[in-house]
Amino acid sequence: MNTNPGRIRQTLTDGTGRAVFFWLILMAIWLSLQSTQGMGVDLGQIQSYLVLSLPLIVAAIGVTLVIIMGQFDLSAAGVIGIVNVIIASTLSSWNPLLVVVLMMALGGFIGLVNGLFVILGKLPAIAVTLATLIILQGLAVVILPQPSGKIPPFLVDGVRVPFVALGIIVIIIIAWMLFKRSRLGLYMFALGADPEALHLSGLPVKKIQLKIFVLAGALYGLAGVFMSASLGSGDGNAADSFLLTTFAAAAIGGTAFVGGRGSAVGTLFGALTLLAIPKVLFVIGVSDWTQKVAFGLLVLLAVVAGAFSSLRKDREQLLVAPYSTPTEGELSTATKGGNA
Amino acid sequence: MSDQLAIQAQQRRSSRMQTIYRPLILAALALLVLVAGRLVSESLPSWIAVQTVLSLSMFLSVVAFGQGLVMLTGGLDLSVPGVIALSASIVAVWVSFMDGNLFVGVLLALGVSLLFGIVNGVLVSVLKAPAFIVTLAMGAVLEGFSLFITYGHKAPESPELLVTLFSGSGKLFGIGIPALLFFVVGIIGFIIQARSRFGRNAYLLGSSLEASRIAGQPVNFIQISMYAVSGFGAGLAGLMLVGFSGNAQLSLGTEWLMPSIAAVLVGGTVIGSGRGFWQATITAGLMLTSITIVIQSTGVPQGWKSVLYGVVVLVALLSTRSDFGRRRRKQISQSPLQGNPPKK
Amino acid sequence: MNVLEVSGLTKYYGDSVALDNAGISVGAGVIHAIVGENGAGKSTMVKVLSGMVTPDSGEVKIDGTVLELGVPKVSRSAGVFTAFQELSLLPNLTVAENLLIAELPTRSGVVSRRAVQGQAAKILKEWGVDDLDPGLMVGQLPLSAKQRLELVRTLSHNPKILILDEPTAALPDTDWLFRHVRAARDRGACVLYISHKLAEIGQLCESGTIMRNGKIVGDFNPTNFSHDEIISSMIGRSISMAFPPRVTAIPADAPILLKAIDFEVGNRVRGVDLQVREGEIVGVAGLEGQGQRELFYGLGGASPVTGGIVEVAGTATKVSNPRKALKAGPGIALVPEERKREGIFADLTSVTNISVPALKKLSFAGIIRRGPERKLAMEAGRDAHMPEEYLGRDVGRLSGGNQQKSVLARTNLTGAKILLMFDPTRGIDPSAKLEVYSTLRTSAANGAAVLFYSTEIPELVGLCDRVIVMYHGRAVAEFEGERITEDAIMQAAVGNTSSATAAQGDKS
Repeated sequence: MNTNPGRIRQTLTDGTGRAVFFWLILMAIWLSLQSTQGMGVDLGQIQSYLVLSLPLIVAAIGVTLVIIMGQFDLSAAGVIGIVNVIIASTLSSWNPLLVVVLMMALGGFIGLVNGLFVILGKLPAIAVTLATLIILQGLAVVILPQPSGKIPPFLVDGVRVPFVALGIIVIIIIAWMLFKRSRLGLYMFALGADPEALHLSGLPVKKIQLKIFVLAGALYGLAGVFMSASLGSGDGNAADSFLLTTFAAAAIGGTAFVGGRGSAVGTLFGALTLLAIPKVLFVIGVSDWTQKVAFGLLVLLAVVAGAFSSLRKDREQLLVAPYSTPTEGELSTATKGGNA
Repeated sequence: MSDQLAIQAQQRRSSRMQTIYRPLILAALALLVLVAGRLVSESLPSWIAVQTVLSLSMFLSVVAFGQGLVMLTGGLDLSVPGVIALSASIVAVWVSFMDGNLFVGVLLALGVSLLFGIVNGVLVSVLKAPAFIVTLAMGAVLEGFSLFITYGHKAPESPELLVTLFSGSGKLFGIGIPALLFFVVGIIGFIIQARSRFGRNAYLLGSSLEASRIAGQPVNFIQISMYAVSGFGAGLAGLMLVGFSGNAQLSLGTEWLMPSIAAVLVGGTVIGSGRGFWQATITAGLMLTSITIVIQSTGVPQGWKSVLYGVVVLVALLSTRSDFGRRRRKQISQSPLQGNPPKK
Repeated sequence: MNVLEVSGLTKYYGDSVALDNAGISVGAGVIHAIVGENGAGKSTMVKVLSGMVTPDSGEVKIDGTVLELGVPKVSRSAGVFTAFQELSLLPNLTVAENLLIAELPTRSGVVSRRAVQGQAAKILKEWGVDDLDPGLMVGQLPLSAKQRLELVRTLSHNPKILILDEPTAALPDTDWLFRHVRAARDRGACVLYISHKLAEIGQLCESGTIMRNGKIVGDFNPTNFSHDEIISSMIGRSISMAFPPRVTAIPADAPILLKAIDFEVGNRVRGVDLQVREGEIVGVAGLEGQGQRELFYGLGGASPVTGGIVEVAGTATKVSNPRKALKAGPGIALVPEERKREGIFADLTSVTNISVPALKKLSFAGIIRRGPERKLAMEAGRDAHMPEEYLGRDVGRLSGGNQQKSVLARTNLTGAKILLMFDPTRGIDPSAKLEVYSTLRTSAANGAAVLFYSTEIPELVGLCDRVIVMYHGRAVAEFEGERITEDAIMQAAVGNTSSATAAQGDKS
């Protein structure tokens, strides 16, 4: 194994590496605390951990897509909430597969509306998606004023360790392919780095932006289905926490909020890290308010650390950017060319 | 000087839509909504309803002032509910459980609010962390603190004086004090935002952070001070709301976050742009509050309020685009995606 | 009938006109030059042809068919391919991905890395740039390699209409390019060649058009033309008239207001020594990205300085931010490169833009007194030749020239005696340029020390008392008085310092 300190430092400043590192530490603390207290770790705990993680992972990947292309989308919590209440109130006896497709379509449609306002209306994404968030949260409460309802049993029964673990693996592979091996993924990164250059390259920038918004929306829809499955019922306010956690997961995973940088795997571990925090706090046995404070502080810490490393990267880039003229070698061939 | 007057006239003309017409339209809409409330409730419109709207708008304005400045500079302060809850808890617990002096309690609450505003500002300006996540996480932390302070106590009673001042029971010239304070807040806010150097700094920074920096403006200090004002405003609102509602519940602040952002956006402020006016923000507050009052009197589910708020915000966003007319649109078409003006 | 027929193109940006009823007509198998100053409308014409910009009016015909404007895809499928001056490469993608970005090879929807690399390597080899590794990130390449990549990407489509916008700005090996351009012409392509370098145009082109202020002002024959005539019709007046007269000589005992010793900004500025005296305009020349931006921004406190000493009026000073720079001794003020982002406050009026440095003086108990503010802004605006009727309007809606004048007015109001002018004439119309020159000269005559960078070498020649040439982060040459010639500056700027009289600061 390579233990070169420079290498380790590099891994830690890289977003994905940092997220994995945080996660491993938290898991180590959790497991050791569990075993020293003689509780051990049973399947049930791992199950609840994974089941809670799945919707966050999916939604956070959606949020990551939008951030990478240089925009913001605050509507994730709204979409998840509305999907949850719709399933619980009206779709509980429908074919689960149909439910998944319908809810992804609903999310995609909301993404389309967001995208149209932002792109054609040339409005700030943060304001537009905040408005859709408010609308969706309101609608969720209108549809289901009190927590109630039922989720299709197939979905609820599907929440078992092997299925969920498999689900996470499948989703992360698809997301990875999307980020690294698809045209859209490539354009998305390019868009976040330099939209003007992408436009000059002759690509339909607005269409690409719209596609990302729709795709992100569809992912929130899927996250809503998973969330419903883990919750087992409908609750118009249950999704509110996703506003903070999705962005925090992306931030911990090393997504740069200026766009152009981020990864699916980073976000995955960002989400896993985030949900490991309450586990650890619970085992330590801190009080209700301490948990709240500690969770908030850790998120702040992660976001600030991410912002700080981005800041340093940008500064380094500023100072050591390559020269824009020929290197000495290139130049000598040029003058040999005899054009001077 | 005559040419000076000409410039003045031109300045007026170019921004009249935003500074005069928009607030007037919004105020008229507020009134219209109240009058139209007749359709759903016998008790509307009434002098009492007007007073209620003014009082609630006053609380909203106190929050929206700092929120608006923060948004002008390109941020968002989502820690508002946390700050309100904390400030309310501090003063209520200090006075009713620790028998502290109210004055000291007020100072303590405002000081703590200011402090957390400053922390938000430092994280956003110095470390360049995205504002809405920082403030959202900060809000969660502060709610945790509030929980700690009030731990074991059941919603502490509000100090007498605050109740008299802010519940509307205290009256001046027969009008509730909070309703009168609306105008005070309006005038003070206007002077600070539109006429003072502090406000000007916010406009400059919002219009262009880089240009501000190169022009020698202390950008970090300015940005931090905007968040500080927002924190202070939320803290102040917390004190008022303790008096208004009679006790310090932790959920005191949650009602005020979205309306404060909505008021700023509906008022035509564009996030991070240097465009936006206080008189439009407070009249937007009046309109949104009127809508709330009418909706409440119909007994329609609360969710519809959010839905309506969101829709109003979207419509308002579109309106900030179109009232600049054709020329403005041409200007917008210079955005990177539309191709550049001749650079070389 | 010609392959390319352009007629009546007009495009306004706010109040400023970028194209004014411009039209050209070029046949197949012809290399046609377009010359003009910065801001003459060449790049806008290029962007219209490639579908990036929709003109307000006008028509483009290719092979007699009217081209739908404003749709990049349509232009491309009509055979129009462009190598852009600002380069359309994505920094966070690899060379291969950039090369194939519009038609990435996929296998059942999945982009195959190997196929992309392989295909890209083939193209690079075909066009004689096989020294470029297709797997490298473009952001890490030197500009010369980026320029070649941009050219290969354009050429590899075998365009019917090939547009090259300043293709040799950072290209050392022009023979390579000329060979391929001529080959394209020989197979019948119509080539539009836009360049500042008249010598190149003489070598390569067969016909030419001169643009000024968005208009076509004349044609010329590249194989037989007079330099001075072309330049006069480019700037619309004779060269000698364009610049305000120099002060006869800067007295030797004039105090040195700004002195930098072994000045360093990361690896971008590597040990530059320079000094500017009171009353002097010192020019800085260099190809794009030679560290001149970092030099100016470092001296002005806007970039972190990593080494060396800066003396302001004889006192060693640390300028860690623009605020401190303004307060240092007689004051250092920076006029930044990107006017829209760093210079102006687009949403605010000219008055508000100009009065910034005086706000403290103008306010009483924290409240700004509006009467005195307007008066002050009006006076400062007048000194910068800003038309009064624009003072009450939002700066973002004014022409580039008037925007820049508001920035200069603000800079004057700071009272700073050391002025760092980074390309203040970029993208503004010729008459505004003249006013900027005269503002600079007046400031110098009033005792300012001016450091002036421009991408237009004739400006440096016409305006400066002394010119420093930067190359690879170093000041490699310095010219004074009669020795300041376009040719000498160009030679030094490409790193050919043998002809330079005084090479200084080069410690390699």
